[in-house]
Formats: sequence, structure tokens, C-alpha cells
Amino acid sequence: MSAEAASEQAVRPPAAESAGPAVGLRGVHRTYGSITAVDDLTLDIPDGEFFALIGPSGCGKTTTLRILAGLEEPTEGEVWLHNKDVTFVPPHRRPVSTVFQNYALFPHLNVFENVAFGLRERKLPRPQIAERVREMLELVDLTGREDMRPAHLSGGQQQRVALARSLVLEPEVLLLDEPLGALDLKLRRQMQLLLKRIQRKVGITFIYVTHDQEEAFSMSDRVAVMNQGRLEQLGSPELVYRCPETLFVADFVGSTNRFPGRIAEVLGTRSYAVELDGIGRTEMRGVTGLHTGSQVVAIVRPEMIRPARAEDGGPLLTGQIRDVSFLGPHTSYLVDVGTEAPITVTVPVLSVDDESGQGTSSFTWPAEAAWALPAGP
Amino acid sequence: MRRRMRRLPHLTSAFAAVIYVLLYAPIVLVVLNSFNANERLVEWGGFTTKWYSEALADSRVREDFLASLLVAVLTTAIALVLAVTAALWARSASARARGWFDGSTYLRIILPEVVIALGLFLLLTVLEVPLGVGTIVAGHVVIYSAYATIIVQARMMTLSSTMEEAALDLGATPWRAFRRVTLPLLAPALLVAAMLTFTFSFDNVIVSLFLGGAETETLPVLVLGLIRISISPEVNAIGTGVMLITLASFTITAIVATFRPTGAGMLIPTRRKDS
Repeated sequence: MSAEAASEQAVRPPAAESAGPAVGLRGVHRTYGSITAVDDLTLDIPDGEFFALIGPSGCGKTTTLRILAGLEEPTEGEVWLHNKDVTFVPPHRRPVSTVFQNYALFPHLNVFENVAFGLRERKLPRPQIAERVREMLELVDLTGREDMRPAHLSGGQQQRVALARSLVLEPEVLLLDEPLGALDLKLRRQMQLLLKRIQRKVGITFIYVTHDQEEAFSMSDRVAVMNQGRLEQLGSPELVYRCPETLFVADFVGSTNRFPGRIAEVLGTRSYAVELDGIGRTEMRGVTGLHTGSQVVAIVRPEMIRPARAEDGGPLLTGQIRDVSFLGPHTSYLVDVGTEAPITVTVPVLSVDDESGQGTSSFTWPAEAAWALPAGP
Repeated sequence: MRRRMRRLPHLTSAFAAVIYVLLYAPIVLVVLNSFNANERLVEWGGFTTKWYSEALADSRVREDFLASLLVAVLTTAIALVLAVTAALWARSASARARGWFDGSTYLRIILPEVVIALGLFLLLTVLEVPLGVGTIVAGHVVIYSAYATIIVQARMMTLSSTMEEAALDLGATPWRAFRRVTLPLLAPALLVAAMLTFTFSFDNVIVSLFLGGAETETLPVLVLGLIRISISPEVNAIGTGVMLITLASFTITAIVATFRPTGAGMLIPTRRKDS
């Protein structure tokens, strides 16, 4: 995602303050016996936001979603929806709706009946139900499939029925649990665009759970990265990608090259001069609170590193190219520069001097590309 | 060696033929004799429907038929309710509790029927419960609800609770979620369980004999009584009638399962995608 798109999303106008955040979690814990699934989670999600919860499997993101849906009760803590404490409100009385991972469409009901399910529970008059189902099926492009059963639909169509079934109830918050997990890549891209378009159109708060950071980045206003039940970082996709708070976040949201070193001088709140092992003194930004002398790891994304030219004054890496992989839009190099693991460099075109990929080459990065983190445990 | 292997199929088919003859010959004999005009049934005395009209005219046969029907219908209804309740409970029960429960279910199938019947008879006598349709139904339920439970539970295990969660999530109360989602999804299993329970209960002899008391008699008990004195040709007509009712319940089940779209769809295991 481009930086422009990210900042544009970041300045979306916040919703009416009086109603409070669409979703508020206050110190939510969830334990199963001795296992902690969610550990002291506190976060606010404003109205109309497309919010993504990402993390590896087992990090507690699905449990968090189920707590929001009311399908699971927190062991401790509170769940608020628009200034209402709903911690112990059962799922059928919560103004939220869920798109389940495997859609959970009712196999004995056709598309129309599936979408009408919730409206029937609300005892709306039949003509009104028919009208709203029709509108919703049009929105998700399923007009004409009313009489089909879920088993006869493709994965993408099933997905859209599940979406329609939830959206037709006009929930305050829509929860999506890995909704695109079962689809192939091309369909995923299409569905991502559709989801984003629908979210902008209906203006409902979306909480989207996925383990795919790329998917989360391409759609969300803000991303929460979870690990082992805890919230590691919360922020715009760009912030999380460029200024990760922990090594875990740095690794989870993209590939990283790591350069160990220590702080030589603190230049500002988030600005440091770092003595990198084998490279020398380099200025870079980093997390707050690092002190002179602390051991740090500088991380640099592969796409930020580029072949060095003679006039470059920045940090210089010289090493043997071990491997070249052509990946279509860019080429990836594996370069041995004397660090613990070979570094990865991706460049848009074949712009390294030695095209056979076997020679010694020099690389550098712009000062703003590196980010200092405390050396992990 | 090879030659012997080749001869084996002939042996097995011959064996199978004998078994089938043994299985079906008595049934054919009963049906044929129900139309046999020869009163002593030693030879074919020509075609008649006399025995049927006699059986139908016999008020005892009619009463016993109605009693059997009442017992079978009540037993089926109660057994299904118990089976569904047990299956719902088992879904959330601990493995240990489920183990005990399953054990008690299988026990009711394994234990000789006569033992269960005798036990119930003694218990009811001690409690001074008057014997009748009610006690027969109780006895049938003890045994046949076990079959129904196993069938319904097997189906329940294939359903993920996500369906029900989805219904709750869409605003259905727990009862409505059960009514609109779980129950329809269980329907094919309920149909099979109902058919089995009805059939078994309708032609049960032992429990009905023990728990019917002096007043209440079911049709199979009557048939048993009739052949004790002398083999009346009427028995064949009654037997054929019982068989037709059993066949009818099976046929209805088959038709419903084939032509009702939800039933047909449900007999095919639900498709599982990923995860």
C-alpha cells in the first residue's frame, strides 16, 4: 500500500464523540483452564472504522472476536458497545453480527432464506423482508441466486451470502473471522475490494480478523497486532510497518533484515546514532526510551535497501550475492554481508552490477529506512 | 490353492441362498396361508379373504391393534424427545460424563430384553403401579430410546456448533436457533430413529407381555396367545397385517427422505471446507 493511501485513511473524520467508541474492550482476559487466550486487552475502536486484528494462529484474535460477538464470555474485564456495557449480554441481543470463517450458512435454507434469517427473527413484515433481502443481494451481486442452496454455490458466492446475511441486519459492528481464508488468491483480491467498497458505503464498523498482514494492510484504517493473547501494537498499517514497537511485530508484518549494534548517542525522542557491528555509525529513528549504550537491533526492510553508487554517503554493505530469485515485479537477492543471516534485498528491476548474481556488490539504505529496536530476549 | 479360491464364490453364493430362503420362506408362508381357504393349513384349499374379514370383525384384534398403535406412537414420541435431549446434552458434556452416559445407553441394548422386562415388572409391582399401556410404553422407552439416542447422537456429532452460533448471532433466541437450525439439520436422523423405534415397539412381545398386566394386550402378544392353543388361520392374516404396517412405515420414511428437499440434502454429509 502506498504512503498516500495510508495517510488518507488516517485522516478519516472520527464519528460523533457523544456515542462513544463503537467498541471498547476494558482489561479483557480469557483463560481456558491454565491457558490464557486473551491477556489484558484494552482497546477502543471508533465508529465507522475498518479495524483489523492480526497475529499468528493461536494469538487470541478469534477468541477476541467471539467475546465481542457474545459467543464467549471474558473471564475478566468488560465489553462496551457505544457506551453500553454488553459484557454479559447474550449474542442474540447484541447489535453485532459475525461472518464466520467457514461462513456457517444454513445448508437446509436457500440463499434468500439464509439472508432473511435474522430479519424473520425480528418479526419484520414479509414484504419488507423481501425488499431488504433483494437490496442486499444486489449489493453483493447475487441477484438471481435466491433459490439456490449454499452447497450449490462457489466459495466466493457463499462468502457473499454470509456477508449479506449479516449486513442486512444493519449491525452496529460487523465482525469478520478470516472471511477470505478459504478463497484462492485472485478471488481474495476481488473480495477485498468488495469488502472495502461495502464498508465505505454502509459506514458500519468492521472488525476483521486475519493472519494475513497484507490483506489487513490493504483494507484497514488501523491494525492491531496480537501475540500470545496480548496486544503488541496498535496503529495505522503504515505506522505498524515502518515503526514496529517490537521485533515480533517487525517480523510479523513483513520481512526484515536485522543489524545488531548499540546506541552511540541519543539525538532526539525517536532519533538515535547507532554503532552497527561491522558497518559503523549510522543515524536512524527508533522506538522511544533507548539509552546510550543499549543493545539494539536495526531493522531494514528488503525493499529499502538498494545498490550503492559511488556518491552515496550512507551505511555501506558489501558482500557476496548468494542467490537471485526473480519474483515478477521485483527481483530478490540473498546477500552475505557478514551478519548472522544473509540479508534479503529486493529491487524493482535487475539493477545490480553483476547480472550473473555471483559477484561482490555494495548496498546501502536511506537514513529514514532503518528503525532501531531493543535487542530482543 | 488358486482353484480352491475360485470355487469359493460358488460356496458362498450357495450359503447365501440358503440363508435367504430361511429368512424369507416363513414370511412367504404366512402371507400365502393368510389367503388359504383350507382351515387346517395342511394344503392349499383355494383363495379366500375370509381370515382377514374374520380378524377385522374380531373386537379383540381391533382393540389390541389400537393398543399396539398407541404404544408404538407414544414410545416413538418419548424416545425421540429423550434422544434429542441426550444429544444436546452430550455435545457440551465432559468426556467422562459422556463415557458413563454412552455406557448406560449401550447397556440397555446389550442386556437381554427379558431381564429388563422382569426387572421393570418387579419394580412396578413393588411400587404398586397398575400395569397397562403406560407401563408398556415405559418399558419400550427404556430399551428403544437407546437406539434412537445412538442414531441422533451420531448425526449431532457431524454438525458443528457453528451453525447454532450463527443463528444466535443473527438474533435467534437459543430456542429459536434450535427450532430453525439444529432441529431441521437433525431431521433425517430423527426420521430414521422414529421409524426404527416405531417398528420395534409395534412388534415387541416380551416387554408388552410382562408389563401389560391382565387388562392390556398388544397385537403381537395376541398372536403369541393364538398359536398356543391351535394355529388358527386368522393368525396369518394378523401377521400379514403387522408386516404391512411395518413396511408402510419404512416406505413412508423412504419417500419422505427422497422427495423432501431438506431431507434428501441432509442425508448427504455436509461439505467441509478447509480448516
